[in-house]
Amino acid sequence: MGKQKMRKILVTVLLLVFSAIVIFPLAWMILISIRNNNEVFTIPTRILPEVVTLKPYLTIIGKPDMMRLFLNSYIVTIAVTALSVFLAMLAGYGLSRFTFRGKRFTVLYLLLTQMFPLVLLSVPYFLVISRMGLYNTRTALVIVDVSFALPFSTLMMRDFISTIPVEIDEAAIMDGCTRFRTFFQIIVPVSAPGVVATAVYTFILAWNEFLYATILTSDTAARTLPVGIGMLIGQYTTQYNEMMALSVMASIPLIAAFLFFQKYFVEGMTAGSVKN
Amino acid sequence: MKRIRRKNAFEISKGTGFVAPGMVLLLAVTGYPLLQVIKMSFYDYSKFTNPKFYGLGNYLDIFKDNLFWNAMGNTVLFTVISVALILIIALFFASLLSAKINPWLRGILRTTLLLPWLFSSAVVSALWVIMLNPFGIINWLLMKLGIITDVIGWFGDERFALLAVVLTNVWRSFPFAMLMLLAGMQTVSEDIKEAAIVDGANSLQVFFYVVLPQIKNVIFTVGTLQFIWDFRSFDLIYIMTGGGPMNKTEVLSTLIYAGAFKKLDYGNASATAVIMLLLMLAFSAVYIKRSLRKEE
Repeated sequence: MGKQKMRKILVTVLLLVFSAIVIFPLAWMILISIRNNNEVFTIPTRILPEVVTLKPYLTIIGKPDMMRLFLNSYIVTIAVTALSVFLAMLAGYGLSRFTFRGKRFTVLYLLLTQMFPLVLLSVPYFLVISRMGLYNTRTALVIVDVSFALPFSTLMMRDFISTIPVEIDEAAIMDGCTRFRTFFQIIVPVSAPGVVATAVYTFILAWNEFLYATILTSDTAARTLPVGIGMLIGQYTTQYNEMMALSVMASIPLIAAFLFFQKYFVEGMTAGSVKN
Repeated sequence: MKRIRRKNAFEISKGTGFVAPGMVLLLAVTGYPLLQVIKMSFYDYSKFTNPKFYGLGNYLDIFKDNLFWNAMGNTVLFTVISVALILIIALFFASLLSAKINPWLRGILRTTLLLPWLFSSAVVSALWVIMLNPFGIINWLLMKLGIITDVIGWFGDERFALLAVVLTNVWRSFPFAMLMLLAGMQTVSEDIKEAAIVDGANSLQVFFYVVLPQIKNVIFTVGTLQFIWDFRSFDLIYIMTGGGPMNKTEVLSTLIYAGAFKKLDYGNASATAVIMLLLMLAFSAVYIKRSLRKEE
């Protein structure tokens, strides 16, 4: 018995120590964001700031260009999440409940597109989007992000809906519901946890998308947060404290969404890999 | 078997009706550009010239190009080291988390350890660029621990730049692998583990001879996905090093980007992208086959 207890303590201590190492960079991000810029690189390194200040945050909030990045990110992300969850729910239901011609191809295509190198389609996207007059618009980013989110979202929804007994649909249809009413009034409410998981996945993907937001935007009309932060790094002079303040602010919506819905999200993410 | 469930033509058309909106959009937004890339790869086509049919010319040019082989080597190096480290670290954390510890603490730590995976690559890059600055905290720590005596210019030094992006990538990527492996480990029955312990196995033996074989499918899935994600990795490298110094961190993704949007040579960049696509399809063939078989 004593040996087991020792083991438990040992494992716990190991976990705590290594978790602290993993998490430290996140603490560092915050610690940098609340100090003056001349305290960022000192010899020796100062773990805690001598002067704690919120000025980096206030500076960011005071810049209309920066606030514009948030606005763009929110609009794009919310539009992408709404659209792709809706489409994924429909397609997931179709794939789960029906057999139809081209179903195998559909599933194969969903799997294949997830294997595409992201940069693969950059040239035609750029050319087509420019020709359509959508260059440097949020609409372009929404279209592109939805297509990136759809394959995984659809399969995630399909897997979730497959766990709902078909008898529920059949009972509803026996009672005179149409297929579409069955879907909207019975399946959608029952699959709420799957919807939440898919929504969180899409939210993270769209909020963080970098490559296409770089290629398809040229200024703050459509530029999103990741592009804005990436550009700060590229610039010669750098206000590191402000860069970290912006990073913290840009990450809060993500962390909030994740913490709030993590139970569903984690279940949704792991469901596919464990069933062998 | 499935055919019996098929009810009638009416129902079938409804199945298509549900799937169509998403799939039509997906095909339009990915299918058409895909065909375009393949087509462009056979053309001599840049921003300043009209497309001219070039046959396999782009491909032959690429195979003779040292920059391509350099990027290929870096991609393989970046991917292999990343995947190996990610799997080891993820297995380490997953096995500790699946041990008999306080369930409340397990929940908290699992959530906390997942956090690095959520952040955008731009934020991760910004953070690690600061930490890996010559006067940043990592050099300071390494010197304090006596591991190095001189500051390392992580991004300026040809020997360390790739390692710097690999480390950053491992930090931000391992949580996903950990989550999947943990979920797999939690399906291994306690009885089998107990039986092995009764037979005199120590915890390392239980891990290597009981747990690992039971989750080998999950390891395969996670390993394949991670390999694909790292092979096509773009954001971190583009933001942190831009492929430098001296092309030491140039990978296929950043090479294609530079070809298309800096040299404006669309034909050549498209051909490189097609080569990359073929490689990735080859890597994922077994995984896709398995996934499709699960569909049956």
